[in-house]
Amino acid sequence: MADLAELFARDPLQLTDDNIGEIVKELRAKRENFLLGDKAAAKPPKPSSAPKIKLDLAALGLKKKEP
Amino acid sequence: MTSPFLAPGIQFAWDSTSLGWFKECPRKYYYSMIRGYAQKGLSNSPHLFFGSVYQKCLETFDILLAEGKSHEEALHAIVRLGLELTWLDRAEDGSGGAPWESTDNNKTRFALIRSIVWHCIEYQGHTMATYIQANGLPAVEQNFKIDVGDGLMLCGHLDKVVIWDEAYYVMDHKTTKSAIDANYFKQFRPDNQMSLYTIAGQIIFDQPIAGVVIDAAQIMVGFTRFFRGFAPRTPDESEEWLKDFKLTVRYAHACGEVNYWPMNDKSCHDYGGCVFRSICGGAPSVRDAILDANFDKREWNPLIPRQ
Repeated sequence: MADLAELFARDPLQLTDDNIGEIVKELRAKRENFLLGDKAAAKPPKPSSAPKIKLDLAALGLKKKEP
Repeated sequence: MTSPFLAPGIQFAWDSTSLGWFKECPRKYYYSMIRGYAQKGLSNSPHLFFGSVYQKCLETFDILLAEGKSHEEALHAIVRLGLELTWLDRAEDGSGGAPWESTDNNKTRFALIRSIVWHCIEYQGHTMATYIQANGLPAVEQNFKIDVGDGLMLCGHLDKVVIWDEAYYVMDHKTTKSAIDANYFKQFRPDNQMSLYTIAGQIIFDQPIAGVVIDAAQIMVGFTRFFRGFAPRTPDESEEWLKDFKLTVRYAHACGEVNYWPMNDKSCHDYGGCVFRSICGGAPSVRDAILDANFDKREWNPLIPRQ
């Protein structure tokens, strides 16, 4: 089975009905992949389950000094 | 009659392109329509070529479906058509040639075929029904030249008329690289082309046309996205547009009678800048030389039907 690039490079007058069918099938599959990707991209990212680091503000010198 | 002019500078047959030029700026109209200047390389524009083949393939799809072909048969036929229309420079005996090489990264030959396939799949099963005329022919691919009174004609090409929610609409296909959202469709109300199409549809098909449905496709490198939006027109909006058209043409004829076309210097910087901005920005004495050196010559004739 020829790949899409090779089919596109061929003179259309040399393309058989099966070749056209292959092009349609490949483009249909690309659309399915695109739609799956679109759905995944539209979902908000899940919040991370990684442990959160506790910051020692005093050690970082960021705590307000008492008068 | 093959000339859109009754006399030099007195155009009677108008289309949305020539009317749009005059509405933007009489001077732009003068350079484009009267003198016949166009941006260099415009005839090879990848956008125009892409759009025209895309439209041709989708029109052919509708005709094949109306003839009783199955969705799959029609789809395969237009893929073959799209590939053949974008195979250029064949010899007279049909041999040789090469695939069209676009100068645009998005609107390529591959993207064109992908877009027509994805369009047909996108709207399969829930497409807007094509209006079938009393003579049994689908209302598609209609070149028109219609008499609108006062010795004036409106010319153009309608892609098709569809029925949606019990109303008739002209459908117009658009391709763009821009994101398509609600703002994209706002540009079509008011709009010269959509108003002209609505009036043309009403006259040609003798049906009340509720406006235009814009069938838009965003063409990107890796994908095509589809959206449909409406440019509605009430009967009084259409009447108003026609009144405006006739008054606009009276102004155009007044310019033609004195052979002078004033600049609209408030339009020069719209839409990325008028192509003639550098001409009008230069001294009148050198403009013709600059035009001849920097622009192509081509005749724009609304009376010549689109192929």
